[in-house]
Amino acid sequence: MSDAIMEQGSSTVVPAKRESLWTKAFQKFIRDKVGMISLSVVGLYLLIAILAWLGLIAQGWDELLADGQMGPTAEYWFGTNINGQDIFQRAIYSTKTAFEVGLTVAVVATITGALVGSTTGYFSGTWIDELFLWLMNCLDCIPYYLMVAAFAVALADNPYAMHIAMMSCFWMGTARLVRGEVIKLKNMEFTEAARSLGVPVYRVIFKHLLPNTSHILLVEMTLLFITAIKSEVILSFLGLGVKDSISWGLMIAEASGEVTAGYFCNFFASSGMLFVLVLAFNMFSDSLQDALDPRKI
Amino acid sequence: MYSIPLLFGVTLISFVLMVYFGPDKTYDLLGRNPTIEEINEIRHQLGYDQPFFVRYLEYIKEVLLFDFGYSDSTGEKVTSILAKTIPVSIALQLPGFILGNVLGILLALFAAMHRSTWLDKLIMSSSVVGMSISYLIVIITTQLIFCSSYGLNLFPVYGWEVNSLSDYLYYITVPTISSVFVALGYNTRFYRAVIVEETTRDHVRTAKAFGHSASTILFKHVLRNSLIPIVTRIVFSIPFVIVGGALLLESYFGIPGVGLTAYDAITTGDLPVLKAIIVLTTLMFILVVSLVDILYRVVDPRISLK
Amino acid sequence: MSEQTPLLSVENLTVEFKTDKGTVRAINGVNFKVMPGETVAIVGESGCGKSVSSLSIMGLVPSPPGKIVDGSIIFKGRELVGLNEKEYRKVRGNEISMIFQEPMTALNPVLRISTQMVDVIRLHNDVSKKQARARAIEMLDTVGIPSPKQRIDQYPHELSGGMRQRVMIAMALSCGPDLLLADEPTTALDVTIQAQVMDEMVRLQKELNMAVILVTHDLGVVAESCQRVVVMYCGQIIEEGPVEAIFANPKHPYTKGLLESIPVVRDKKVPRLPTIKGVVPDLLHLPNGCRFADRCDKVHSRCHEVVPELSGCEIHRVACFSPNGDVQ
Repeated sequence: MSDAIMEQGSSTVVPAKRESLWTKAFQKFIRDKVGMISLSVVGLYLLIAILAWLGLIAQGWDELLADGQMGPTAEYWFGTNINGQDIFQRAIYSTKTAFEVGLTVAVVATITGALVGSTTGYFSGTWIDELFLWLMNCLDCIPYYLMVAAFAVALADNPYAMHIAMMSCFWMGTARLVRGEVIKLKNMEFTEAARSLGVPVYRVIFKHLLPNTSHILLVEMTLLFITAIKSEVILSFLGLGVKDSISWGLMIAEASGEVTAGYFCNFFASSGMLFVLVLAFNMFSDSLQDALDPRKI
Repeated sequence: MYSIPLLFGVTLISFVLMVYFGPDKTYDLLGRNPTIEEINEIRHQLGYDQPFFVRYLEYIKEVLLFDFGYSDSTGEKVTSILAKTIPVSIALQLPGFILGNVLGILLALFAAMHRSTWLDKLIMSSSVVGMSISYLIVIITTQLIFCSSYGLNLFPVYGWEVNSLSDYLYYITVPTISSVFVALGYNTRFYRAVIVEETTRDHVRTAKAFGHSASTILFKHVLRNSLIPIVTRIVFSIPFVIVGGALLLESYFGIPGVGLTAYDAITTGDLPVLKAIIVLTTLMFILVVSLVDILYRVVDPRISLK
Repeated sequence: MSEQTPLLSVENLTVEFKTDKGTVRAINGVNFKVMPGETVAIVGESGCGKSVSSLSIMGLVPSPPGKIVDGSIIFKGRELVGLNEKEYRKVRGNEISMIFQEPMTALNPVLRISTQMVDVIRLHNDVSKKQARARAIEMLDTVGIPSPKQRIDQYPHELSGGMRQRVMIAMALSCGPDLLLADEPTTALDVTIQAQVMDEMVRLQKELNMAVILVTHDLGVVAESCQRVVVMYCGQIIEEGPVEAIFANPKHPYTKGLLESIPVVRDKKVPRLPTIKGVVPDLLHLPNGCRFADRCDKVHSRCHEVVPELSGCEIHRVACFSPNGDVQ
């Protein structure tokens, strides 16, 4: 055996492109046709919502334009409802309401859930964790609709009563999810390494652990958006939801009466638009999940 | 057992919610232009002038004795209302619940077996579509199709007069169709994911390497192991299905069950009934968690020895 | 050398995998033979194709992404490539058995050992449950598991890693296979347990006159238990021969580098431990010519143009244009 030392010579191999989880996911997502199509559909809806919010379209949703119930005509593409309001405009304006509800609830619930989940996950087994778990279990026992009703009464005149109620219920699911993930991550070596380097606890949680859950959080946020929108439909139907504005839920509530009289437009317009948005979002969420799945990369 | 702190917490939170945010009934019971004495009299009657803890202890007493007093709106004894309506809700939900889960597992198995083929994609796309349709829309549509004169007009739109098995089937078919349709989408997706996850496990590869047939592997190795998370989910969904799902079905089809009672109680602010329902769901939750605990011990040998 | 027919003859085996970035050849034109009762080691670094080779023999290459595109695998005179599933199942666990790297997850956690072992025995032999159970206990005893009659009714999680691997070996041997494929069986175990399990395997192999293909990257284990060595690099066999010859006189620069990088106790301290410079080429962008050329210090221009074939004397062959320093 020679004592020859083999020097680490310069490699003739080209170093691989730097790729993070996000760039890889992005590239994978772009190649997913279904994902891209659903994203564009969602984008279209978002555009409509923004236009409505800016006051550029569908502003006449509240006005009494015609005498009464009408089927589709050239002037009113989906006819009018029993008050003589233009169904088409109402359906378009409801997009804004839907996004309002969906985005605010999804973002706030995700952030709250992430904060609580990561903290309890890190301190799992201690009193902080026990406290929040107990709190979440208790709140789970109270039927969802009751919570919303309570909020509706408490914040009687606040048009955001429903939003706040939803946020208070939805954060728990995210918190549990994040908690589970953080517990897994906590036991990995990189956490130990960070702690032994003297990184303070809050930084370990927020700079090291939480970003590692971001792929889960992103998918969860899309799912919350969908749940919020679907929930709003049912709540509005029950009278606990949106108040001053118009939403698909309210339209369906109106429509349930009209349907027995044979006027289906209101129903089709609202449920159709709702269905397409939810379907597109669901498929987008699926593709997102596939793209971000660390095992498949 | 954490059921005691749980019960305590739930009652506390719900009590706070209802007392501080619930409707103030003082003026409902009075006529016009009440005098100060009359107002005070009514407030005393309703117990509003008692300090917080006294009222809370009263509530706890009610819970422990299982006596919730009388409904504000109908005047009936709350426990008797519950006794009447709970069986109805269960009878309504049970077939749908069982069908929804069994069909979900079967479809998921089928999809997993034919993974990545067009059959699998078809089942999965249908699930996504099923998940995207709001429960409400499904109910309205099925009503239209099956119950109204625009559709088949085979079943009643409304009502619940069950005196025999054929009556039962008559009233239950359309609601069951709705609930199964909605549940199937979610269930199939989740179960398929669990089953597929299980097929990627090492012990499945071992089984294949020793020459087991595909069906043995599927049933003895994959399905059996997948049942653990599947059953957990099924059992955990029970409280939510019974109270939550029931609400819509019952209010739409006019079926006098717990859900409808809850809905009425919410809209009319019927506190005694609400209190009772909350306690009920808490108890169900505790029961469910204990049930899952026991089930785990039976099904997963790794747990029983801990 | 006696003219024995080989138990297993792999010829020109080529397996491809479809990935997002293109089709990759995991193994390319692999040829080797295994005689009855012989222990052959397949060594190489991670990703060189050694696991794929053994999986192909079992017909277990995951089939949507992977596919055997060329070559033949002849076992006991029978062609295995293209064999239908039904026939293959009769071979697996019965004539050829395989054990895997991770004993902790290889057994089904919710079934007892007895169930799992009895199932395998009854799958390939027409015996009653009682007889199968007796055989299973016998096998557990043979692999050195204490109190087999009690242990057999336990669940996998009640056994340590080393014991689980022994159970796997027992299960693999329970139907008396002619060939055992062991894919890094001791990598996941402690060093002391490793030694025990390997000793057990060597003893059983001799007793049952069973052929063993040991896939590993641990040259120490190879030196102790194997008769022949096949060295793989980047999906190809670059050297093969008897273990003494390979260790004493490695001909391929890669084999030389591998052997030199084994840490040993030296007389004089060295400033740096020897390594093989460079990295394994990306299977998607293979160079022309010899795949080791970029890392080789004996390289000359021909190496970059033509892929060297395995050549040399019958028992010790190497795929190199300048084996052991001599330019061919």
